[in-house]
Amino acid sequence: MKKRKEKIIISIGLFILSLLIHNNLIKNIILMLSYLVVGLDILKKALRNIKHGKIFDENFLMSLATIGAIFIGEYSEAVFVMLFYQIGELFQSYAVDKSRKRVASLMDIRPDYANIIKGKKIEKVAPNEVNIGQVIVVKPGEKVPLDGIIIEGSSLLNTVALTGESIPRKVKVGDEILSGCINSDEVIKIKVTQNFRESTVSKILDLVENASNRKSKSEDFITKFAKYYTPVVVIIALLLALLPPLIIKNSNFNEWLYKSLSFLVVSCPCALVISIPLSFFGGLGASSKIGVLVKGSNYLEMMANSSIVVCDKTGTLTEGVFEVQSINAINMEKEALLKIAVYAEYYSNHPIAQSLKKTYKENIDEKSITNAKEISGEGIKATIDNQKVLVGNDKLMRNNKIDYLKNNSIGTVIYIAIDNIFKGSIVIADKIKEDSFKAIPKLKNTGIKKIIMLTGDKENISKNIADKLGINAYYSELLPNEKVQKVEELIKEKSDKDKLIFVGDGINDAPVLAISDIGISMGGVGSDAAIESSDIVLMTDELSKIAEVINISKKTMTIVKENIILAIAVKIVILLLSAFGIATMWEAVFGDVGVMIIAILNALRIMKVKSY
Amino acid sequence: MELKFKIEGLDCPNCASSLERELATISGVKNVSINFMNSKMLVETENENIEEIIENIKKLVKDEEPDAILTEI
Repeated sequence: MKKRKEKIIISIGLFILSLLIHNNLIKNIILMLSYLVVGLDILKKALRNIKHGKIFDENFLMSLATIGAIFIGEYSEAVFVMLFYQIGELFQSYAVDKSRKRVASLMDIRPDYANIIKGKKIEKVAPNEVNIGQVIVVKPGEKVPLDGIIIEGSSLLNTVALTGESIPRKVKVGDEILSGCINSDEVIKIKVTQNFRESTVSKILDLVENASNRKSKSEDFITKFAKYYTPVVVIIALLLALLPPLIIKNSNFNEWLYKSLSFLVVSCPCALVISIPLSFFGGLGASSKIGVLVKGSNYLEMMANSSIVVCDKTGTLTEGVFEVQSINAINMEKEALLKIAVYAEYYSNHPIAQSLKKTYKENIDEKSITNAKEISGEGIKATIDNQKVLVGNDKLMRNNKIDYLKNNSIGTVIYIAIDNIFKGSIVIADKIKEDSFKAIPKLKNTGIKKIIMLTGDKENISKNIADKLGINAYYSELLPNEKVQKVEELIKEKSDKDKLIFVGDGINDAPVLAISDIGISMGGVGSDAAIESSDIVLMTDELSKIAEVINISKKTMTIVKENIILAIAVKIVILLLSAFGIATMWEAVFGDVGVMIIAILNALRIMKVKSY
Repeated sequence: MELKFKIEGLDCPNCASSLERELATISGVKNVSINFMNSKMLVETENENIEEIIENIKKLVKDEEPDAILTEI
């Protein structure tokens, strides 16, 4: 690239020098020098390619056009065309290089080394040399090289490169942490749980680097167009040079040859083609910047036409974690009621038991719990401090003939009785994510017509959530295979142009993700299932990112369309003007390279947008 | 089978797509996809004669694009 730049500068210098000289012979010699400096590489490549039978190669076409110009004595035209062509190429490789670097820096998460503990010493090794179970040290400012669990220290983790989230996350002993984060506070020790190949950072890099292997329809269109465009223009050029002088009497052969040479100048498709993959590359880069990994430019393209979003409920719209919503105690303190419930559920692994334990902050005196017994489908019978305790659903109350007060709250209700006397109830429910409230209107703003929720949960819980969020439709109490059927129905009902997005946690819904136009999994960084079965991976748990990606997609598609139309229109105009002798070769090359530069600059805009 | 290559030194996406078409004619090659922006090439092949197919791919790339650097990954 540097060499090319030097050649262009020398060539321009010689070209300017030639303008100052009046002696025609010397002037033309200098022009020829200028031509050779900038064009020799192209001529060489052209020769090499002819040997392989590639006559529609851009190097050959440029060589032919300029040699033709020299042949009819238009030396400065020849220099100018070659010079401008090279400037265009230089600009193109500069732009490609720049956006490659920019995207690479967005995804600068590859760790260079790991500090492993060997006896009393710390040793720097390559991340792929660390085995599962080994302990590594991550110092402040270093990248976490492998997935693991903290066994010593606490710190703040910067996850911005992974999730786009700029607020650092607090981590402490026992927390699982993902490779690719940056430790920004204190020294921590981590017990490695995955080897490097299986670590999050490797999986993400693999996904990002292989993205856009699936090409978009726009890219296919433009490469197909280019495939026919060049031969057609070259054939017309040939006819233009040969036919009119034969048909029209007294016509000037050189004049028609000149016109046909202008055609050759515009016949190169590269300018047309480059801006499209560049735009998609930018769009994919912008997506990964906000923590969304898109697996191919085809998916980014489809996002712009998405009109139906089907969401899973638990874990997607809601936290997927049950929390105590209310405690209704009768003739006793709320804390005391909670304590009894927690003690009774102490040995249970049920999610409800887990959420109760999380709410209760005091220490638990295990000795006071005797005879805890789980009654499947009902609840728990236990003896706590010599009191007979019943904790469970209404069935448990009825079967033990307890006179209880029915609680009609939305969620799962747990009733508590002590020594056969009803003492109150606790309501547990899954919480709607803060982000979901923002995400639904945001999605509607992007032009999503229908948002549909699918869930295996109970009717009243589902209705409540759908109403609160403003979701158009919901289907509750679905079994996993019924979810697949439902999505199949929705796909049949919609038109081909409208795309259906399915969003889930990516773990249980692989079949649904697969049949949707676009399958999106969220929060599944580190889970193989999520990354493999979905087309787009949200690295955070936020549904609103989907709206942002739709906006990026729309922006990308607008730019892609602008570029396609601009490039084709300008080419056709130049061809027409040249055919009628209005445009010269100067204008032809100027217009051709100019439109490419504009298209590239337009494509580079995508990554510059600050927020979507 | 899927073979992965890094391909550097291509001039433009147009050269990449014409190279794609050429490579697809090699016997045993089912599908070729070159990603110009990522400098990556994915080749889907039959499961037999992998060595020979790789040889042919390398040879063809060298003939068509002498400036390109092809490495298996």
